[in-house]
Amino acid sequence: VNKPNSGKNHDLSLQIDELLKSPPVMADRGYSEATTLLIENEMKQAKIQFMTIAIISSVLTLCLVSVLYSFSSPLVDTATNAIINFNVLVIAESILSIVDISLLAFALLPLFCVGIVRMTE
Amino acid sequence: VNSNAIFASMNEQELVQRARSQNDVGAFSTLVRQHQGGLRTFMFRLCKDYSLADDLAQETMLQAHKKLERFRGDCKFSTWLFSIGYRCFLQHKRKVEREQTKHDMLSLELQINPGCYQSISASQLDLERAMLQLSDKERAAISLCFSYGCSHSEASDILQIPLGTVKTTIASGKNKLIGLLGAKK
Repeated sequence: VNKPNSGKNHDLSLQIDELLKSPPVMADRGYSEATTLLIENEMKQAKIQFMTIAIISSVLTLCLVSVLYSFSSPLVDTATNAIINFNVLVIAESILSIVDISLLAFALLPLFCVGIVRMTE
Repeated sequence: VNSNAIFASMNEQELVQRARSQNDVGAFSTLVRQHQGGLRTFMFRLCKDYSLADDLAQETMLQAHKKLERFRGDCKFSTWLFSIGYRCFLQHKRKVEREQTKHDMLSLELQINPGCYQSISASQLDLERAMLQLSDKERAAISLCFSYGCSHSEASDILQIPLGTVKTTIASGKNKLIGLLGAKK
């Protein structure tokens, strides 16, 4: 036996389904522009962070290579070559990922220095 | 050529592809414009606060931009966006519950502001008010499955609850809505 309100409830249920299918949409009012601006700022900040790390690591590599070149022993030469090889890997990685051309320049810097030191030897 | 016109002519997949492969902010900006209205309505239904909903939706967009590489395209972009949005809401809710600040979402006065929407009919207004009386899970499940075209299985993934629970949650939510709106008439 149907309950007295079951027909009414069924109609209401259908009405609710229809209303739910077309939810109201929030008005934009500059929201998209503000969000895009925020994303652009985040991207710039991430790039700056990345560049800072690249500069610091390159300078540190340069210092380490310079210090190692002041010694002369087979072990030190092997270590220096390993660092240079690592730097070559960094360059290859930056070419492949194409993050930023300036990163490539920073990665190349220690190699240039090593090359100059070798030439003057 | 106006880049906005080019982006407007592209479909969702092309926009995602362009935003991902060329890191094109313009393409992603078009996706933001297309989805912000729905996402913010969904976030408001969850957190019951317009400014918080806007902040959470913005956080969702930021995370979506960062994680765009991980979007496999096996569901709609909006479904993926809502799943990130729901996680943002849960994170915020846990934080609020931990801190037990005066901004406790449950203590907020439940108000619907028609001015925040592009347009809203009297019936939609009643429904939105009734929706606020449901539990978080009921609001989320009903919104995802009825309003934003998710399947029960997709809703189960987003809400991280079993499929059967999604169905019972929707049924109990619907019964509450019938009761609330029926009592009003």
